[in-house]
Amino acid sequence: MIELKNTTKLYKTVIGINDLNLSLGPGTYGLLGPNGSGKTTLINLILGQLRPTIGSVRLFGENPWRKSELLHRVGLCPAVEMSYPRVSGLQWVTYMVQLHGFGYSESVRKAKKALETVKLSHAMNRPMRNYSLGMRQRAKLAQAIAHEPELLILDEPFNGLDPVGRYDMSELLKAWAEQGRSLILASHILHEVEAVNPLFLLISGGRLLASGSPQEVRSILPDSPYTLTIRTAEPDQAKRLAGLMIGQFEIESIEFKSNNCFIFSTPTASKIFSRLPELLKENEISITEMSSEDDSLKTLFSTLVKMHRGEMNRGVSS
Amino acid sequence: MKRWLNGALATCSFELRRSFTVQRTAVSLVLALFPPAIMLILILATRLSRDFQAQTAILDFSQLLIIFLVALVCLLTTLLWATPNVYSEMEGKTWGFIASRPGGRVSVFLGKFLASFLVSFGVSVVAISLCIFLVDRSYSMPDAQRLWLSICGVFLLGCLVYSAVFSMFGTLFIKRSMVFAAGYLFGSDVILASIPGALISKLTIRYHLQEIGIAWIGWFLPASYNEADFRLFYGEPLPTWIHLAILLGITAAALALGGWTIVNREYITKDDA
Repeated sequence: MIELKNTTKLYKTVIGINDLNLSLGPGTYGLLGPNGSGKTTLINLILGQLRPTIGSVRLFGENPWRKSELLHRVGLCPAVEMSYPRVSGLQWVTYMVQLHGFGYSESVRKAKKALETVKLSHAMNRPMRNYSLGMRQRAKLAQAIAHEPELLILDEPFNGLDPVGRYDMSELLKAWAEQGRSLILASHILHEVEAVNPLFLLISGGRLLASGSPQEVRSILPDSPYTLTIRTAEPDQAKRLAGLMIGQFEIESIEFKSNNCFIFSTPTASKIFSRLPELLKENEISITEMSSEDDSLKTLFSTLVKMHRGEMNRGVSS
Repeated sequence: MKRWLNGALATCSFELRRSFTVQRTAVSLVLALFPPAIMLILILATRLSRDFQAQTAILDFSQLLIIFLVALVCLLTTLLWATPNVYSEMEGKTWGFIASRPGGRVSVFLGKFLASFLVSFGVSVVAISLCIFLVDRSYSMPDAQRLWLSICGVFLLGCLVYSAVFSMFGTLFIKRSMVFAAGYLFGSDVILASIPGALISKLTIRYHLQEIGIAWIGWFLPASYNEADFRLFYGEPLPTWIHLAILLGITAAALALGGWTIVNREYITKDDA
């Protein structure tokens, strides 16, 4: 479905994508990477909106830069927050479908169906300036699916959605994937992408760092250097617990924030997670808080970058 | 081709619908009413002065004045509508949605050109009609209906060719397309077209429109300017169909170059880079 061979994209002297090799068959993919990692550039290369500086890109076996007809088979939901304030959702989605070459009445029918799918029928005649961020996000999704593409590419589709909206979006994408259609979901938040159970593509600095199933990706996470904060119920317990932990686990650094709170860094977080409850019970120590300062993806990427540099050996297929 | 045309019509209709706002309608109305307002002021001023010579001069200059004032308005409308064709989509962050459609780029280019042509011609027709009505009511213009038709004909061509050229500028220069288009207009159709006897002046759009105007409207410059003297400086005209063919050729060439550019150019947004 998608093939990139030694693809590099430069924006003058800035690297967007760096010597990327990728071959994706039909399926569900989660394109993960921090902001500025090259996700949008990769999507634009796949869609023929950008021309690779070096290398080649193939979409459905053809060069997308030269063959815009291929775009009929793709639906794109970009990350950007567009502004068509005075038109209604229905007018906009209809227009987007018309640009695929459909007649007006057929476009209206397809637009209505898509807006119903994303649960926006009730507001489809309202000007988009009155839409909430979540409603605009759903309208964007509607224009991407209205012409019934084979491949759906979504760039940060969860942005601005409330928890209910996120759940609805996840359900919708799961249903899309279950229909046997292909999906590429770009995001910088791991657990959002994980909900649709894709094959992960981890990208950073314009390079593909790794790829793998959610289980493979999760397997890296627990043993990545982790910074954790622990707050004990009683002031004297913090120092005692820290001493016990230093004796039993591999602790890289420890810092006391107050007499009942300390922050520590460990490369064996999974061991601590499994043994800590027992340790607390045995020593009659109670804690009121245990939290991680790193979000999962940040930790994952710092781990992958270290692997990439040869500073760590463990890893997934890359 | 059919997809492009369908897409162009859809874009034109979408553009006109979404631009039907109080602000944009007011701007178009002000532009359409500007020439008749100036004409009315001149007519009232000469009437109040009771100066017979001034009143004769107004009638003598009326055709030139109408054409000049409407041309200003027509060019401004075309600049406003045609040149920001790509920039407005990039600024509104809607470019990605359009460009990810098969033939979306060409459809938008042609659709916006069409919208620019329709709006500028509409504004011009309103302005021409009101101007001729005012002069006719005040001084009984001879053959006002034929004059209206021929001026409208010249402006139909003018709106078509300038919309195409400015649309092309919109694809070539993203951020300052309006400045470049205005610069071209001033350099080519104001300065170059005014050089008497120069071959280069014959390469300008204004020269061909001017010759078609003389052929269709008749001698629209004031009677004090002799056509023979004018010909001495600017040379004999070519047959009207050749001027017409050149203008249509410029339109086709501008659309082809603009269409080629919009398809083959990477439009990199801030979000990409």
